[in-house]
Amino acid sequence: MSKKIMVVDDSRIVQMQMQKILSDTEYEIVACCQNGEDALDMYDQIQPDLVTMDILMPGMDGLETARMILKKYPQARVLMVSSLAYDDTVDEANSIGAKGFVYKPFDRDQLIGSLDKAFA
Amino acid sequence: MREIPVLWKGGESLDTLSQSQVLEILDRVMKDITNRIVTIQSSDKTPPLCPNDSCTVYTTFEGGYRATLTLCVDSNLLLHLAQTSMQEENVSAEDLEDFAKEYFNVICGQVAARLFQAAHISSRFQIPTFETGCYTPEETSQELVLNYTSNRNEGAQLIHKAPSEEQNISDHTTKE
Repeated sequence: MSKKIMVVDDSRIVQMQMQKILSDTEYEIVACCQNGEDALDMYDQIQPDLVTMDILMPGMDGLETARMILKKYPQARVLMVSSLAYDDTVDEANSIGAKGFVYKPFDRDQLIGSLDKAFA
Repeated sequence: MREIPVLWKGGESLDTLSQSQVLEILDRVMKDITNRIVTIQSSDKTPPLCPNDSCTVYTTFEGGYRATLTLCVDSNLLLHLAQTSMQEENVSAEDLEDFAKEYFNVICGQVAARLFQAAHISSRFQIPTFETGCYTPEETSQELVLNYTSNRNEGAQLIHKAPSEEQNISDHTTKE
């Protein structure tokens, strides 16, 4: 049975890239959102097994969105996916309970490896 | 050596980076990210960027590192980058813009990360803005310009513009 993934990223290019990478894996992208507000609504509706979360987005940023999802659903799995790959941001992601951090640009092995680790 | 007074945090000047350090970080990131997709080289000459056949993407850094970063790129080079990255021959104008913003987003994220490593200053940047046409650098001492060409002689310019010292001081005073 596939694991349901929700992608939150304002870039359609990233959404397409993830779709290609995960197309022949146990992970299935069931929803894509381009901002934090939509992600909160969508999470309530589909209850995915994991959310990949960009940080820099219009409106509510990814860290705040992740914080709100995890406050409401403490068991949620959130994997941050961002180019803001430095200690401050990674520390903040860890402190709110993210399951990991994928640095952009990512490749197939990095994305799938991080997803596998988040479910381990 | 001239220093760039762009690093402020909590209203206090924490550190400065030399012009050469900033340039080195920008240059390394630009090449690291771009050469994963298409090979580019540094160029001593200003690339022949035609306003009608160029695109510009830019953003502003905030927080510890304050500057505007602009990338002006030959449209053919941008298309080549998008086609190679997306593994798609047909790239719509919408996808090209989205690719440009994401590509620049990655460059800026890496710049922020390396500036943090170099000076322990955290910063964020705004969502990149895309425009068709070529940005014309101002002839001021606050601008640093890096020139690149691809193997197909397509050009790109990465332009760093620090806020003026007057602006820095004004903002510094406001925060206090």
